[in-house]
Amino acid sequence: MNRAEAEKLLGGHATGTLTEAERSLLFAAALDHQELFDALTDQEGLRELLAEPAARAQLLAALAPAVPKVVPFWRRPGLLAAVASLLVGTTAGLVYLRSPEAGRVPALQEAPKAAPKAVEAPPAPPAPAREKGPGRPATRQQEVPPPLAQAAAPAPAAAADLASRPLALKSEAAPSRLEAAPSRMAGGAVASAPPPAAMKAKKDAQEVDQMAQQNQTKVAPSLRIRAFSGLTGASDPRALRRELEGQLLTPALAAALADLPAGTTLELKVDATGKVLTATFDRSFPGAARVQALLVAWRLRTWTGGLAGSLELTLGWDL
Amino acid sequence: MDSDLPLSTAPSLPSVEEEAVALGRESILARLRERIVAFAASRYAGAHAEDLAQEVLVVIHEKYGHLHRLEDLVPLAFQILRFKLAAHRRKAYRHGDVDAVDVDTFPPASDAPDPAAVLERKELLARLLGGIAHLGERCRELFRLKLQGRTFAEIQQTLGAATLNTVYTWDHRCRKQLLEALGGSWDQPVGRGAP
Repeated sequence: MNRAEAEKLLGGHATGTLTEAERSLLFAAALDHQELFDALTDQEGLRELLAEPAARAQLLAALAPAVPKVVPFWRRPGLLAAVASLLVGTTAGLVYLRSPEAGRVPALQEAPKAAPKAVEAPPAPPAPAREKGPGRPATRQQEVPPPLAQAAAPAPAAAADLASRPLALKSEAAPSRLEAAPSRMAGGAVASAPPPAAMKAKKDAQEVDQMAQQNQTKVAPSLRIRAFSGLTGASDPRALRRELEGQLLTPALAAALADLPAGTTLELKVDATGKVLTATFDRSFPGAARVQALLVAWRLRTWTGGLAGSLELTLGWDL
Repeated sequence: MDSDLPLSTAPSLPSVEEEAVALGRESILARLRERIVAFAASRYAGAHAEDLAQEVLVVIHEKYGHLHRLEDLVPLAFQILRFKLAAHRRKAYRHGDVDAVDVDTFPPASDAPDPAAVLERKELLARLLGGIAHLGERCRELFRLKLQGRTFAEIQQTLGAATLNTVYTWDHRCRKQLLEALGGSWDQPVGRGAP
C-alpha cells in the first residue's frame, strides 16, 4: 500500500474502525513513511479520547440527527402579543356593542317620533283600562291593539307600560298620571331613572380602556444592550449581540430583570462550546440571584470557534 | 570438549521460528527508532530526540518484551512516545531547563488518572464538539457511524458508496475538514493558556 492510500486509513485508526488487516497495512506504511508516522503520533491523543466510552457517548449525542425544535406558544412573544391584542379588541368591542349606550341612540331617535303620535292618538286603550280598573291585567291585555294595523297605538301602549312600571311601586298613583306619562316621555325625561345595568357597562368599558393603556405603558420599556465587548474568539460579535438581546427579552428573564438599574454591567464567562459558566453583575438589585441562575443555563448558539471567552454587556432601558 | 560434561546441560538452540520472530521484532524496533527520532526532532525534543527514542525503546524492551507483532509494537510506541513527550514538555516549561533528565516512567506508577491528561482530554473533547458542528451532513454521519463501531465495509453499505475506496476518500476529506476546524492541530498549542 502506498502512502496516499495508507493516509486514508488515518481517520479510521483514531476511531478504532480499522480491521486487523487495515491496521497492519497502515502500521507497515507508517514505518516506511515519516509523514504517516508523524500523523499517527499527532493524533494519538484523539485516539485515546475516542477510546473512552463517556467521550464517545457525548460525541454521539452531539452528532445525533437534530429533532425539529417545537417552540411552545408561551415562548413566542410576538404570537402572545397578537393574541392579547385580539382578545382586548374583541372584549372592548363586545362590551361597547352590548352597552345600553350603543342601543340608546336608536331608542332616543324613536321616542321623539312616537311621543307626538302618542299625543295625537285617541286615548282609546287607556280609557277602557280606567273604566275597568288598574288591578285587572287581563283587561289590559285584551285591549292592546294589533301593532301592524295601527302604528301609533303600540307607542301609547308601550308608553303606558313604561309609565306604569315606576308607578306600580306607588299603589296610590292617580289616574291623571297615566295620561301625563306620554307627555313626560315626550319631554325627553327618559333619563330620569337610568337603568343601573347601563351605568355598570359604561364603567366596565372605561376600566378596560384604562387597563389597555396601562398594559401599553408596561410593555413600552424594554431592556437593551448599551455597550458590548469581550473576548469572543471566532464568533461574530453582531450575531452574538442579537442573540443576547433576544435572550434578555424572554418572559422569565425579562420579569426577573424588571428592577435592573440602568447602566448595570453584566459579565459572562463562556466556555469553548458556548455554555455560560458564570454571570456577574457589577451592582446588586432585587432578583439578581434569580437572573444569574437563569443566565448560567444558557448555551449561546452563535458562539463558534471552539474557544472560551468572556462578554461584558452594559444594560439599559428603552423608553 | 570435556567428556565429563552431561549432555543435558548443553544450552538448546533457538528454533527457526523463534529466530524469525526475533529478527522481525528487531527489524521493527530499528525502523521504529528512526521514525521516533525524526518525529521527536521535528516536534519539541530538539537535541533530546535521540534520548527520547532510547527511552521509548527501553520501555518496550523491559516491559513489553513479549510483544513481537507489528500491530502491537507500533501503537504501543505511539502511546509511550506521546507520554514521554508530554512529560518532557511539562518539565521543560516548569523548570525552564531543557537539559533536565526525564525520570517519568511509563506506565505511571499510580492507577489514578493524571490530572494534566484529564484536563487535556476535557479540552480536546470541548474542541471536538465545537469542530464537528462545522462539519457537513455526510461527514457528521460518517463520524457518527464510526463512533458506533461500524467498520468501513459496513459504512459503505449504510451510505450506499460504490466502493470501499470511496468511503476511505470521504473519511480522509472529513478528517482534514475536522482538523482545519480545530485550527490545524489535535493538541492545543502549549503556552496559550486556557482555551
